[in-house]
Amino acid sequence: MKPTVNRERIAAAILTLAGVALAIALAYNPRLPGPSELVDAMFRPAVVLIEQMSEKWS
Amino acid sequence: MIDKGKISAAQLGKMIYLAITPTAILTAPGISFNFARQDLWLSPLWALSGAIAVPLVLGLNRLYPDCGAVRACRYIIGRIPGWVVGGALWLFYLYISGIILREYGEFVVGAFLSETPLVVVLGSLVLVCAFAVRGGVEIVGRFAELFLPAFLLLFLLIVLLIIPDLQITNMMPVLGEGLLPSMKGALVLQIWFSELSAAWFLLPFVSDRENAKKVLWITFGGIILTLLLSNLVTLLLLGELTGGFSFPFLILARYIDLAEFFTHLEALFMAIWVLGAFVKVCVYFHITVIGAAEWLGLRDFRPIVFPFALLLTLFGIWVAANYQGMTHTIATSMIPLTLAMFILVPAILYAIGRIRRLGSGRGGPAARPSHGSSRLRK
Repeated sequence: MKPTVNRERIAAAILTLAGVALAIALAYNPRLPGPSELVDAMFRPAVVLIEQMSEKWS
Repeated sequence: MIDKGKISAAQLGKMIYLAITPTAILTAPGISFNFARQDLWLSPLWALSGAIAVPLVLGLNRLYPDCGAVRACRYIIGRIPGWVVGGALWLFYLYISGIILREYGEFVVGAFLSETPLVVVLGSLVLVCAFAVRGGVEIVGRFAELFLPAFLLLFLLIVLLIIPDLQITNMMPVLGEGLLPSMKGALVLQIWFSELSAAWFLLPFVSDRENAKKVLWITFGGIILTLLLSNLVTLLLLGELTGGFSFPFLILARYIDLAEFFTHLEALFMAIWVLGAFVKVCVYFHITVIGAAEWLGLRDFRPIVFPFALLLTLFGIWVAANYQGMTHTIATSMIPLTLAMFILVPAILYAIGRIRRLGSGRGGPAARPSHGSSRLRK
């Protein structure tokens, strides 16, 4: 019997491929900029402010 | 609902408690100390984001009681903006899950299994969590119910056994520089308190929702008490050294020495941490998968659990180059990010939802919107 290709299977296949692609990218370049770098860049002014507060009290 | 399972309000409270306290006990005292110094123990009292999060999630759930959070976004702000915000929400939960997983991995590898590769430690926990998440919200709720007594018992045992070694002078002078240092110390704790917002994703599964308000406030109080106690005993034992340790509470467990008989009790802390981390990862993993399934318009979330397990393991490695980098991220950029995604975004959604509800002349709880999920999928 021919298996039905439904939305769930397609989603699972795409997510698995994304995972494999990320695994290969991380294996070739372990220093690949990640989500934390993106978040740091997005909130740069707040990060500088919080760092100054921490240095003042440490 | 994509997940047909049901949990009780008490299970919800236990899930949220275990989704917040394990990492807060582990890393918060060391980070908070750099801001609050000897007033570290007072910082959990400034739990402003938690006090906002609880009524916010209850209000959001009242708007669309049986809708998942990602679907509710579409109903509140429309199809395209809702699709964008919903996508950002589950991606944010995936990122947070990666951070939690990495904290677990760094703790286990750094303190106990120093020869084991990080990916093995992360992968094994994610695999177990994936089986639990695939079982649905009921399974995660039952695990929380099962593990919470053990978690509390072991935590209190460590606190009781360390009492003879505590130095009350380590907390002096109390409020020596006013309230400001303790408030600054509370800044980083807002990450954990704002995590109460995760209840928004779990409330649609609660069968006795009339008890949810009471349970969430009790959970919030319990989290404050736990953090107050862990910060206090850490400070009273380690004093000025608190900020120098990555995992100050582990040092506490290692320090216990009663009659040269009760020693090396770090195994207890390991047990606390593994139980807590398991439930914590399960809760966030479940939220991520349910959110993504709703966002993709799937009828069943189970086929995407294992692909997400792979992604989550990779995120655990990808989120930071090392533990120091991750601690820096938690102490700096994570604060505005979590406040934005856990508090600001839900607050804006709630405000828009309320205004739209008042505009349509319906002040009370919402009925299910006339346009169903099938229409949204088109």
